[in-house]
Amino acid sequence: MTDQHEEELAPALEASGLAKSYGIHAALEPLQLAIDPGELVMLVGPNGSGKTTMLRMAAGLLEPTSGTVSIDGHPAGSLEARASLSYLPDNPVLYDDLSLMEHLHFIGRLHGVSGEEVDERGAALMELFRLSQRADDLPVTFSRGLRQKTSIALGLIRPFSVLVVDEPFVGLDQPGKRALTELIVDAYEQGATVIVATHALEFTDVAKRCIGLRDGELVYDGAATAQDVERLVS
Amino acid sequence: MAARDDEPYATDVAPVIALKDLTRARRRNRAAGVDVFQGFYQAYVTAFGCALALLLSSDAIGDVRLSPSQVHQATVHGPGFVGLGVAMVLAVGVRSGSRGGPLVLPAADVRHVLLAPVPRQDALRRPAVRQVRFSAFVGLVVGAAFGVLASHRLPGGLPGWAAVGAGVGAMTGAMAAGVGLLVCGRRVRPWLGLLLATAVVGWSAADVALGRVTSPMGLIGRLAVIPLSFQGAALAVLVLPVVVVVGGVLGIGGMSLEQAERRATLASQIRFALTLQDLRTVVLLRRQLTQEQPRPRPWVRLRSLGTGKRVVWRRDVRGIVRWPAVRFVRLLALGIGAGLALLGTWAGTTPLIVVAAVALFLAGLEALEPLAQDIDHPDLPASVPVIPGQLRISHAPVPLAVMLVVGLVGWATAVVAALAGAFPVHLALTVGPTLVVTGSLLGLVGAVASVVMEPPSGGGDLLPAEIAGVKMVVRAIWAPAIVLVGLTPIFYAKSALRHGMAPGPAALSGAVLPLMAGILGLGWLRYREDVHEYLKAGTTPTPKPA
Repeated sequence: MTDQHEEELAPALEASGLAKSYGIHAALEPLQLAIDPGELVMLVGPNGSGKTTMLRMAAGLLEPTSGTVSIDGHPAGSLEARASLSYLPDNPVLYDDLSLMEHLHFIGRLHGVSGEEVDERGAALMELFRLSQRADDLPVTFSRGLRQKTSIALGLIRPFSVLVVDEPFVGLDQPGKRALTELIVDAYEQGATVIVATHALEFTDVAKRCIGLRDGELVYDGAATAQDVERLVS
Repeated sequence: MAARDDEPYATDVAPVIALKDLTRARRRNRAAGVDVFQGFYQAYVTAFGCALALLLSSDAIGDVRLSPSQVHQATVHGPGFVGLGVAMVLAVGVRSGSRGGPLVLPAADVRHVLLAPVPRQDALRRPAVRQVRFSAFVGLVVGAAFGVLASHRLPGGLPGWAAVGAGVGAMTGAMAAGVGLLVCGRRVRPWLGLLLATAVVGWSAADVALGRVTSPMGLIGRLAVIPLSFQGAALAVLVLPVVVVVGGVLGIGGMSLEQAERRATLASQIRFALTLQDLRTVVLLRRQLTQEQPRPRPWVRLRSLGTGKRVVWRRDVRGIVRWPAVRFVRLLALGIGAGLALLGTWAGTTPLIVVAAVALFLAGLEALEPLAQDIDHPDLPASVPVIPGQLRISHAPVPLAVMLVVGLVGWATAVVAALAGAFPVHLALTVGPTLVVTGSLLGLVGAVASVVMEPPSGGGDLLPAEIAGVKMVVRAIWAPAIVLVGLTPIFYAKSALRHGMAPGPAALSGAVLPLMAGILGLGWLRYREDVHEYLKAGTTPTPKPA
């Protein structure tokens, strides 16, 4: 079997004994999990259940205390995993001295996207999030919601095969929420694996699989109704 | 947009060019926001401040020259002591590296650049080189300042000492940054970092104790005393900074993103707190940065708090028994540092008294933690049916006891040095107790002044920059300056010794002013609101009867 075949068969995200603790507090108990390529997964759980910890370890921002996590068969945080995974955090972090358009160009180019492609794709994203008028503005003048929209646009301007989204609807207005849901479904339909951590019950209609965490432990894995999700987050 | 399999990432140079373009774009945008005239004015004010500091400090350093036998002692033992100083700086570098330092990246760089498929080595090379350059510059300035101090007391001339000091300082600064980068890139665990730092300092301390030079830091010390004695073999140590810096810069790609992100967030908050001169916030953020947290289990189990007048004391003791070991070690080091600096002051290097005062001030900030927490959360003391001043003063005894222990550590350091033959033992035994009491008391009062100080008002914006600048400096230094008052008995003792009188009683008589200042400071802590009320009533005109 060639390496290419191995990569094709590798789960989009695979956690093996993945755990994280801070001193004596365990944020995530050893977790076994595999998410196949092309799945749309909803990650739910009450506050402090370990959702963000797990996603940040997948993105390579946190180091596991024990166990491993891989993206498309590559260790999280490796060059290949960084090329595959796009992480949309719940707290937008932007450069104060780069305009929105400069952000898009810079992030796009870091990921090997050509200038023309950034212009084209960036214009569509800004139109969708109603940011076109603010393209040349610095983020310091943006509200929380506008910063969140900018952060989402930055996560989607680049190529990816795994999209990891943490509490994406926080701070967004209704059109923003609709636009983001459309984009997430669009990415899924194009073949990307999408993992969304959210408390939004309406996302249950879109997600094909639900993973529930509580106190750092996996408590649910499968298809879920809105009632299931409500029970998991309460 | 899904990833295309044929897109090369690791070998593509485009992202590296994008990084350079990013730096240029950010520089351009920042430059566009700068007011040229304001920039010139700031440069003028800075030059004015520096000139003033130079003028004042040049008068302050008026020290006696060493005798030929003392110069010989300095030539023999100097390299060991300088090596110990260098080792301490390197230990700081190692500790910083094991906690993700010394680089502080913008949070957006961590999120966007380090998560992009760009070799981190390429992305971090420029910031790493900048860090080494900055540390070398700081070392150069500090080293040159030490060189100037040395030239006042040792033969060799000012240019020689200043040049050698600057060179050794720059080398030490660059090495500290380099070793930090090396440790950070290798993701050395904090406990191992502490072990390495202890080993580096321990080796140099052993050199000092044995009166030999076996460590590389000692060889650097030999370079530092070139104006007294030149040993060509010591030049071999010049290879070391090159190796450390190159290794550090080349290996920085392995740094931990978790630590980089934490530093990025906290360091920007620390900078903001520093601009507001909010020392308490700096202390708290620094503890977060170093992950210094109270122990979940106390060192000693205590009985319940109970009730009554001493409940605040017991609460304070409970806080102390949960201190992490590193805080005890820091207080110990501050006590030893204060003791050594006062020894240097006694031996003739007068400016070292400032170092002792700063050490006691920092110890005071640590000891005053319980009161500082009440100030941080004013709602808690406000909800207690006790007069605020009474509650505040109830917090004083336990920190004062801690400060007395710190003072005793400093005194013990002096006694050990005296027993080793540094100076007569009876001096340590007679002058020391007075300094322990006044230094500890004023160390606490200085910390109280800093913790209780209100944030700066915005009214200063209307003042000319020269006045506003002076006001800002006074605000920053007045709390440590209070501690300095507590150490003045040493000058009474020195003066008495010069005039053939007993130094012990002289130090005791010199303690009157510091003790009065200490009592006043504690009184202010108790009656602060009443004093403000009284002053307000004095400045508000009484309404005339209709």
